[in-house]
Amino acid sequence: MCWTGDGRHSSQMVAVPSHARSAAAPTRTTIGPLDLTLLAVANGLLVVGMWVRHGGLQELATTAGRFTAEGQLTALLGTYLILIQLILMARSPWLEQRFGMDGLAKAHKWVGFSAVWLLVGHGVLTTIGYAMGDQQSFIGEAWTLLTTYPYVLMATAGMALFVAVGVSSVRAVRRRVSYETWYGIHLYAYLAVALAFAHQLAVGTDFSSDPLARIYWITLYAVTALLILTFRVGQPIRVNLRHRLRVAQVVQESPDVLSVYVTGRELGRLPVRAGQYFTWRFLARDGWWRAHPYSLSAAPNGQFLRLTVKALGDGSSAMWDLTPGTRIFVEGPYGVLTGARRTRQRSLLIAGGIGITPLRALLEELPAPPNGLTLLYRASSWDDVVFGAELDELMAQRGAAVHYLVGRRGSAELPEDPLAPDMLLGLVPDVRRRDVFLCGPAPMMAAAVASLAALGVPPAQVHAERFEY
Amino acid sequence: MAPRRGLIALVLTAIALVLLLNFKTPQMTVGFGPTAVVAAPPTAGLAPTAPSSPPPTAGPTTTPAVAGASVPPPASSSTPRSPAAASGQATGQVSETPFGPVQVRISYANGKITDVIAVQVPSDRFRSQAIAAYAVPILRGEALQAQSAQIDTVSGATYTSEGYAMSLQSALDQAHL
Repeated sequence: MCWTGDGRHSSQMVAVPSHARSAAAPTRTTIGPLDLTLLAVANGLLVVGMWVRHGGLQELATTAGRFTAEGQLTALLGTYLILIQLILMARSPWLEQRFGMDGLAKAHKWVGFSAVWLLVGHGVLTTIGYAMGDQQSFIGEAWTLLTTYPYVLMATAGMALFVAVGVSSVRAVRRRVSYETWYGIHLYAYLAVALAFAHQLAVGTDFSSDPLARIYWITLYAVTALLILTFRVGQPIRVNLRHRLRVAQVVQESPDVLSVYVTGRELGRLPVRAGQYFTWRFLARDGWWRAHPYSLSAAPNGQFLRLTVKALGDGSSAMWDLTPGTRIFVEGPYGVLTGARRTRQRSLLIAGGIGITPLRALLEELPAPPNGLTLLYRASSWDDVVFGAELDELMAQRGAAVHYLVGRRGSAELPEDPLAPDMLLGLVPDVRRRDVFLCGPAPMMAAAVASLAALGVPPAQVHAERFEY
Repeated sequence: MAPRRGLIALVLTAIALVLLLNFKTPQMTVGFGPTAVVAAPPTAGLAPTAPSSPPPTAGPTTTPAVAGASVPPPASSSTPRSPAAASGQATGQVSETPFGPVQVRISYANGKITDVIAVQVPSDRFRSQAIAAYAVPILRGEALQAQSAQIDTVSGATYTSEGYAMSLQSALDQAHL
């Protein structure tokens, strides 16, 4: 989902000249996504090499040794993946601009489940291996490990926390718990990392006798910690101290949609551009603990920022009561759905429902060659259409074309899927030669992406970012 | 509401954390590394904790027990001159295993082994130390019982057992027992 503006204030807003802001243009360096992926894989191989160097393969000779050695390997790889997890979510712009937050989140999900399984495997395999060596029962050996091996109890507590994080993220569970609970449980992953660290150095076969391995391992942790401190802690503090954002006005856009206008200091120097989003935390008496990602619904103009929200859910309905002057703490800007992704002169924007918000901002900023800027606005009813007057204004000023595709699919109003390939081609005959920016509910996005593929639009021209938390 | 639940979670977490951090295993007091085994709970047969072998008898004794397994005494420094030497000490040769060296020193009196001390045991990793701590007393008991190096392998400590037996044999050879 994405989020959204206000018809009554549209003329005033659109009148603000939209400088093509390039402050946040992603740096084009020679390091691409593939290089970073290779770096991660190379370090993974280094970790496996460490295990081999310390006799991992020789240990496979006996049954007990095999369990022990495999327990050791799963520990190393599981822990390495946990560090990757932390780095993926460190909000580093280097990673975000290359993979997109949705790409990172997807990777985070799979790497996370793998890591948890590996760590559970480590606990079980090592205990079995040691139990066989000591001719003990599994339970007896587990007790020995917990009570006599240094820091193993702490590490086991850490593993239990990792398992809790994993379980809370399983789809069936995730649906049943609130975002805040899920987020709160996720914070325990940091504690788990800390709890598990000591036993690695104290009883970790690879580190107790190899200073080089020890230095390498600690360096991995240090780099991870540095990234988190810089981008998850330092950067937001710096941005908020500098810009001191406040609520200026709350405006109703439709029965259930509102816009928040935000002012602050030196907004012109905030490195954000149309299509990006912040994570917003409104420091009101009620709801200060909630932080939610919302796209900007107007191109940044140095005067104000605007976010537009479909305020229905538990947290967002409180936003109706925001009073002017309320302080805001933001994290960001994030997002790669910007003009920097453009490869063509002409653009097509496809919005679904409240997904109009970032596209509404982009509509202001993207170049508008003659007949080269088109918006398809899909909504299930006219009540859900927002920014009507603003869009009219933009069309007139910029020569943009807007097609409203309103109604339930299959209804008399809309007998055919308006995003089917032939319909798309009818509306935008030159779609293959355009960049396509998409935002909307996941099923609609999937349908649109499939149609574009069927029409032969090169994937590099299709820009979509999913906002699912 | 969420903030209250968060506060409760925070307090519970802090309590759990304090309890966890206060849990100490015996080895933790020493810290990491190969010295840990030295301060492990006194197990019979491990070098520095075994004052049970006073070297009062005249004769070819080695230097007094060195404090710390990591500083091995000069190997085979004690060679009794007469085969009939009734009592004394002898240090076996270092026997290398994949997990580290094993070396034992025997005390004997009237042609009988009175004690076996492990001067060095594999200690480069915690697991090895744990194995040694459990295997060495068993091996010592076996050696004292058998009065020879013909001792059974302790299961789960194959390498340590073999190294122990080899070093023991070397010590016995030196003592001409």
